[in-house]
Order: sequence, then C-alpha cells, then structure tokens
Amino acid sequence: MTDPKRAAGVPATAPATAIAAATAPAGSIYDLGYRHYNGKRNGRGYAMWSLFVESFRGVWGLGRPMTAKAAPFILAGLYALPAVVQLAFSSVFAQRIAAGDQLQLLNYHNYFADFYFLAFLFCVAQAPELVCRDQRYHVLPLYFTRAMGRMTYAVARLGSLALSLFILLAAPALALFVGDVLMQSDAFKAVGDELPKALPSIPATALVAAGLASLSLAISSFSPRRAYSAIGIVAYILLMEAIPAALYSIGQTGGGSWTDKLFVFTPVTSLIGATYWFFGQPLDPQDFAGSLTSGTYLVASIGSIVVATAVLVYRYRRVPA
Amino acid sequence: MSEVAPVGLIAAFMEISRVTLRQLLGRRRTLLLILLSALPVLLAVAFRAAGETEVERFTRRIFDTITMTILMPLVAILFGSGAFGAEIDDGTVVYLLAKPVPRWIVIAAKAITALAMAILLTGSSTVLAGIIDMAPAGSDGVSATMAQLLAVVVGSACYVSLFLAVSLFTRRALVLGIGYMLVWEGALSFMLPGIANLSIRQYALGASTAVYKLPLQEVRLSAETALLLAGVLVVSALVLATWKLMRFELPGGSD
Repeated sequence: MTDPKRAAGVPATAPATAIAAATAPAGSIYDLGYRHYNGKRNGRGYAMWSLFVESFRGVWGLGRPMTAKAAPFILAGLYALPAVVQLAFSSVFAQRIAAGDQLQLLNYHNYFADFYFLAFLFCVAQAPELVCRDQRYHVLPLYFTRAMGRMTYAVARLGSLALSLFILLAAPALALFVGDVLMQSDAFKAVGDELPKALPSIPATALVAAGLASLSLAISSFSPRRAYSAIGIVAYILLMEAIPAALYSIGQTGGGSWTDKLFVFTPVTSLIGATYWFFGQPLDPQDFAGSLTSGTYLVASIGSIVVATAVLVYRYRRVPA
Repeated sequence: MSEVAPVGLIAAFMEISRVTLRQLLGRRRTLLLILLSALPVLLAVAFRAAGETEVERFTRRIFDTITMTILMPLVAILFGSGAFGAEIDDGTVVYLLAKPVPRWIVIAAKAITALAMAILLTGSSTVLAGIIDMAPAGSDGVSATMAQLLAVVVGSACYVSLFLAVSLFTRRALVLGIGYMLVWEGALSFMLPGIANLSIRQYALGASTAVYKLPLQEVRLSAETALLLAGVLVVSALVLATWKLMRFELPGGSD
C-alpha cells in the first residue's frame, strides 16, 4: 500500500474532511461526517468496467432468474443451431464428400445473411433490457452523480451489448470452423486450409455486432418502457428495409435510376453487404438489387455505427437524470 | 355476485374504454404511430406521382410489404398487449379488479377499444393509400381497397385479441408478439406453406378474397375457412383472457 497519508505518518483514523472528499479525484464518496471512508478509490475506469460487466451479465440474464435467461439463450441457441447440427454430422458429411457428393454446406460468408432475424430478435429483446429500466425507475441520477459520467454510462452499456452480440454471432462461425476441420482427414493441413476462409469472420462479426448494438441501443434509450423501445427497434429496422425497396421499385420503371442509392439507408441489408466485403464474395443479386457494391455497404454500415453512437451519447447528455 | 343493472354495465364499459384509450395514447407515442401509419399514404403519393397506379403493384409493394407485414401487426400487437400491459405494469389493475364489474365486461371493453384504435389508425391509412394510388384503376381499385380494408380489420382483430390474452399470462407479451410476427409470420410461413392454417396473415388475406381477389400468390385460404378460423381464434382468445382474468393473481415484487 502506498497511501500518501500513511507514508507521511498521519494516523489512519485521522478524520478526512468533507473538503478532502470533494476534491478527491474522480472516485467521489460522500462524506456526511459520520463514518469516513479511507479505502481505495478506484476511479472512473473501474466504475465503467463494473457497469460493463454488470450489463453483460444482465444481457444474458446471469445471476437472475431463469425467466431472464430464457430469451437470450434460446435466441443465441437457435442462431447457432444450424452450424452446430452441421458440426454434429460432420463425419457423415465427410463420408459423403469422400464418396464424391456435392453438398450444400453452410458458409462463413452468408450465415448472417441467412439467419440474421434471430440476431435482430436478440437486439429487440435485450437492448431495451439494458437501458429502459434505469430511466423508468429514475435511478440514472445515482449513476451520474458518481465517478460514472453520462458518456461513460452510454459507452459501457453499448460495449456490453456489442460484446454479447459478438459472442452470439461468432459462436456458429466457430462451430463451422471446427466442423470443417473435422471433416478432413489431415487435421493440421485442414486448419491451414480453413483459417484464411474463417478469419474474415472476426472483423465481419465485429462490424455486425457494433452495427446492431449501436442502432438498437440508440433507439431504446428514447423510451423508459421496454415495450415501446422494442416496437421502436422493430418499426425502424423493418421500415428502413421496406421503404428503399418500394422506392427502388418505382425508380426502376419511373426513370429514377438514382433510387438504388437509397439502399445505403437499410440497416440490415447494409450490414450483410458489408460482411461480403470482408470475405471478398460477390453480392448475391437475388438479395441485393441495384448497383451498390459491398464497399459502399461497408461505408454505409460504418456511417450508421457512427451516427447511432452519436445519437446514443447525445441522448445521454440530455436525458433528465 | 350481486346483479348489476344493464345500465351499470354500459356505464362500466364506457368508463373502462375511456381509461384504456387514455392509457394507449401517450402524446409522443401517438404522434409516432400516426407518422408510422402515414407512411403507406406517403408512398402511395410517390407511386401515384411516378405513374405506378396498377392494383397489382400497389398491393404487392405497399399493401403487402408495409401495411400487412409491418404496420398492421405492430400497431395491433402494441395496442393488444398494451391494453392490460400498462395496467399490470403500473399496478392499477388492482383498482380494475376491485370493482364489481363482470370480468368479461372488462375484457370486452379493453379489446374493443384497442381494436377500434388499431383499425382507426391502420384502416384509415389503408383506405387513404388505396384511394390515392388506385383511383385511376377504377372500380377494380375501389374493390381492391375494400378488400385490403377487410384484411386489415380481420388481421387487427386476431392480433389484438391474441396478444391481449397473452399479456395476461406474461409480462413480455409484446416481445413475444414481435417474435411471432418476425419468426412465425415472416420466416416460417415462407418455408413451410402448411402453416397457412395457423397464420394470422393468411386469415386476413384469405378473408379479403370475399370482396376481391388481391393479386398476391401466397393467399392460401378461402374466404370461408379464413373467416371461420379467425373467428375461432378471436373468440377463444377472449374466452381465455376472461378465464385468466377471473383467477388473476397480482404479480408480487418488482419486474
């Protein structure tokens, strides 16, 4: 312990004045003059870390009753299910491939495109969980008067949701990787072959997690009721998918060729398009109308993350505490 | 239980629906919902301006993708689960249950008010959008609009009564409703056509064929079947809700 007071020979029981407490760095602990606090002050970083850990546990319902765990674990399980099934039957597939069958196996690059609605549902269920109740029960002042600032609060919450989504999205990629390695006879060579195909999953998954987390948390922070936040997320995402598609369809026949540029505003389609960029795969013309490239979608997704994060931070600078 | 005079029942009904109305309509929330319902109308204006006035394009691009899959389910789920949800969340359901009013009156008042609100929002949006875009299509356009209105009414009735019942069993009725809408109606009914008999969207679209055959390929039920199944769903959901409300236990503790 290198407490400066102790080092200077001041008795540990020396009364710390209220002024000393007020001028102490970031970790302010209110001294009402009854019982003094002489312990370690962990400061802002530690407060942020604590909130981050608590939020992460909250997203998954850890340390809470089973009912709180149901939604996140069921959704994450369903999202990973197809990949896990492929892993479980990898030996069967391996025999079929050895026998010369052409199999339609799940791929890293279009897994999110196929099953995104489960990840989306995860956001709808869990993002309001993180931010709404603090506003509803007016406990935000308790956070904001301590070492925790408004921005720190927003960033910690966002980080925990993004990490949770990253885990949800990365689990099936890992299962696919293990499955594909097991399907081949030479495991060491298989790892070498698979890694270049699998590695782009990491940045792609990080981008998708950040995109979904920032958007859904920014929307949920505007309502103290979880129900309305959930409706807000669904309405925003579905409408922003449907409106550009509708306008594009009139643009095609009505002569407005610029209307395909509107697809940069689609939240999920942009994220899917951006993941294709990491894998270097061509966009599937069935899912992607118009002339936009995956690079454009990547820029659109990053822009959406920046805007949504800014909106979230702005909201927490203004929210009445 | 002592007999309540019919006049008393009507008064109770009116009072409960008045209270429900006020719970469902917050200021900002109502504004957002009106904006949401204005979207099909705005898109219809855009379509009209671009000269896209055929019944088929409108039905597919606006009615099917926006009104039927997003607007109608969202509004109906919100109102259906909110009719009791707000009372249970705030604890005011105690006052409702303490009154000597038959429970079925409470359910009926809540359900009818929520349904009326949902139809007012989505129905008017459907009719306006239909008239704006499909007026040049003549009588076809008019009957298509009527068919779409019927679909919206049937769909709203099913969603409102189903999720009103669900909201008495769980506090997460709204998230369940959104899950149903996205997973069951959105993903599974495309993959498994056999679900048609268990899909509110199919009931609504099927019922609309009684007025006019909308140019959508995936209408799988006849008008009679659809209306019958929708009726069974609405009645059984409301009966279930009444049964649950008669033995409703006040949730203890926090959320």
